[in-house]
Amino acid sequence: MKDSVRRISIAFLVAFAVLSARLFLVGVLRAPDLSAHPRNPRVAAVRRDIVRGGIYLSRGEPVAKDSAPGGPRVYMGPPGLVHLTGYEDARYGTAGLEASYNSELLGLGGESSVASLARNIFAAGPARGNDIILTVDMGVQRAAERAMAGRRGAAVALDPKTGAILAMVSNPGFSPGRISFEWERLVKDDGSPLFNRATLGLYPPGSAVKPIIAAIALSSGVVSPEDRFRCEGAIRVGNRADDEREVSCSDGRAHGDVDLAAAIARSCNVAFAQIGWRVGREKLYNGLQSFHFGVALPFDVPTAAGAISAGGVNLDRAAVAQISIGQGTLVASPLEMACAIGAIGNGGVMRRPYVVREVRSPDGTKLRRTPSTILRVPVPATVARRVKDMMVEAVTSGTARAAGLPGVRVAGKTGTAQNPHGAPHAWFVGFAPAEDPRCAVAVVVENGGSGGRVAAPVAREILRAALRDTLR
Amino acid sequence: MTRDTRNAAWGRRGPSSPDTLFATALLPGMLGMLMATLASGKLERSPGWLVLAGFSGVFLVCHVLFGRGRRVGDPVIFSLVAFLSGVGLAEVLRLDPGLAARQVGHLAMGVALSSVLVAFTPDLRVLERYRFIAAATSCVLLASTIIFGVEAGGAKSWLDLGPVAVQPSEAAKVLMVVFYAGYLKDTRALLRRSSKRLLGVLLPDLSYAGPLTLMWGLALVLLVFQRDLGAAVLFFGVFLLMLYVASGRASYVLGGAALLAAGGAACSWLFPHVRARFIVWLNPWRFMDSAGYQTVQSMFAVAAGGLIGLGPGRGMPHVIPAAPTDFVFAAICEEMGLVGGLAVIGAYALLVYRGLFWASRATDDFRALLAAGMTSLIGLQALTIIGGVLGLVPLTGVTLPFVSYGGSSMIASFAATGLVLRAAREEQEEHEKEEGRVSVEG
Repeated sequence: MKDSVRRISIAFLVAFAVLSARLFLVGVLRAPDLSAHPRNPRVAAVRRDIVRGGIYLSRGEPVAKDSAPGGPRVYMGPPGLVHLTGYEDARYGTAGLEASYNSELLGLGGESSVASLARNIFAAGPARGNDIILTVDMGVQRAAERAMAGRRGAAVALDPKTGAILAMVSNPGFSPGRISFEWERLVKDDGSPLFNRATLGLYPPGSAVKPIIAAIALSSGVVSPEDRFRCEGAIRVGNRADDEREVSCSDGRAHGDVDLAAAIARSCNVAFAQIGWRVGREKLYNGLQSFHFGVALPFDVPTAAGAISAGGVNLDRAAVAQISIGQGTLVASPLEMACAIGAIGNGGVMRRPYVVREVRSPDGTKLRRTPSTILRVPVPATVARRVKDMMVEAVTSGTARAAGLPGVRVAGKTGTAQNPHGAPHAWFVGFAPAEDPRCAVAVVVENGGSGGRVAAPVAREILRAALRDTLR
Repeated sequence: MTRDTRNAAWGRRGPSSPDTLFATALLPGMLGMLMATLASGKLERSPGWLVLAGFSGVFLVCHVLFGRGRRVGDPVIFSLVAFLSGVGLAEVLRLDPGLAARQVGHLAMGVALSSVLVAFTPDLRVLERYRFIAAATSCVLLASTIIFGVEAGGAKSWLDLGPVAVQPSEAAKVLMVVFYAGYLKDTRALLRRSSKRLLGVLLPDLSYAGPLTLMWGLALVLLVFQRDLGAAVLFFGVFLLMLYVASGRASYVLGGAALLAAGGAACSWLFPHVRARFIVWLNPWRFMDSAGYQTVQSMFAVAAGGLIGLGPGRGMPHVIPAAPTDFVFAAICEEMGLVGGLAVIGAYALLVYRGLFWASRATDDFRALLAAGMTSLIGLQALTIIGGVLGLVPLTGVTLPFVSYGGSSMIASFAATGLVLRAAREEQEEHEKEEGRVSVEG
């Protein structure tokens, strides 16, 4: 009987140890998430007498602040940035950075309980949450908003060497301070003003994806810069002889024998369909995935994953041709396009995008600084350089001439993406200065028509603002 | 036998004396009650002072009456119980001073019952004679709730007696363990002898299978008619553990557990309220506005406490449903933190360890089974409800022994402890007699 009692004793001790581990998991490891959970009644209680932290741009320009302890919140930031910064409303909850940084802004977590106890006992006046400082540059943001004014769509500018977001615009917008008054109208509005097009909007990229396809083709080794492709204005892409589907160049113009550089500069669809076939569906699919297509980007606010195809790598001949010209099942967000084109500019290295530079305590000490990290390296530097030169040619003598700036080499590519919702979406992706990029941009104007005429000038203004100190 | 089984091991002074141990055990609870009283804001005429005085008074008197802890059977167990009662009372006081005042009364009754059992039981073997009466009483008590029971919190386990409502299943649990101990002592030899095998598994003969099936049936009846998942698990779980102690056969326990699992599966298939418990346990977040509300609120509370808690009176434990009773552990974690929660879990671990230690030392089979059974009852109950509060096991409505508010549960827990302490004391007395004989002979 002694032995069995001893075994039961051990079993009990193990069970109590498991219980302790579970307590540690819930009470310590999962505590930050649980304590900031929007449905936790303690969050609302904390909110009632705290000065919620502010949101500031890179040079300290305020975007959101509390007017008094417990709110309401006052918004004074650039109107094009509201989707990113979001709102905090007593009735409708939180969105954007106000949601994803809720616990930091309320000062929950990130601080030991001893420190918070000391603060509760000794602090005079209302408690204050932490401030968050963004990477967004007011000059670039203003320029992007001016250029996008009155146009439905999105623009993203980032530093390709770090991944820091310089500007982000989504149109149309809303007034974050008036959410509770305008909610009914906002949710019914056809323009989806609450929707962050820059991170969640998914569009076919059209020809804007061609630099990426070119980079995949070159790094796959089956296409060389000297290879020429025959363009007679249109090409049959169907699987069988009686399949009449075809890919054609704009206005059915025949480009003749074109190499990769000419195919990008003149945006030749027929050549890219053939390039896609030569690369093959597997390498094409994997290459796009390595550029983070079809996979949600890690970011400070939610991002949409986009898609390469519905059925994975099983693409037929027509699908390969469609994807190679940025049509068919391929869709991506403007943020994704900016990151991908930034990788071309940055020698094939894709940085993780981020917009919150640091979290600061009320007394000004840095609690956390976001490090710049490498997300992926989709293509080698040599390939990235070659594609970059082709993109420069597209701006100097090709379809992207409207993006050119005096005194600086701009690399770019336009896109005019067919879509089922009317006129084509106008795209532009690019970066400058080409030899040492400091700003990568992606612009999409919904149903804007020609990328070269509509999106490229928007990108030019954004790049001009980003390079304003060197241009002068 | 080692020296620590004897009273002589407990010195009069120094860090290991019963006085020091007892004072250390009382302190956290008293500190908690003090903090709760101070945090309530009204210092004069606050019921907190009465509760504090009542609590320390009850335990001090008991401590002094039992030779400053030396004749209480096991001063460690007594101190652990005092610690748990103090921490629980502090949290109940913080939640509801009125309940705390009544809880002091429950404590006094519990401690008194425990003292009577330790001091005045002629011999535990007397209890053995009444095993069938114990079983019959237990069944009558359970039947009474099935027939006259009032529903509260989903379980139909309350009996409304006008001014007070009691939970007969609490007393039934303790009585049933007495019966188990007597019954298993009788059949022990038979249980160990059986050697029929089927597919390599030892099969018990009817003497085992009969009562086991009966217990299984009882657990299911509890489940079905009383909707009391917790009581069913405890009745059957304690029986299985005692069966293992008596037989030393893990196959019996595994077989029994399989039976319980099968019964549970059948019940969850037949009865929606049982099924709901399991579904919610798998993902409480999906049901955070309905059946998962309690679990989610409890996890929020536990997370709010952090390392050392917000301090009694500084958290928001009122938003936890059933905070003074079933979910008192979550309230403790919120206001006393990980440290407080771990201390409570550690106290139960130590309590179970000490109780089973006395069971393993017992020279008499009935005494051993009784000590093991009562200890397992307390241990299993603590595991069930803390596990439920932390979302580790499906939630069952049982109280946390000594900590939760509730008279029936408090008195039953003290009765169980009293019997363990009595077993310890008899063991020591017998040992002393033996020693005396040895020294006379030598």
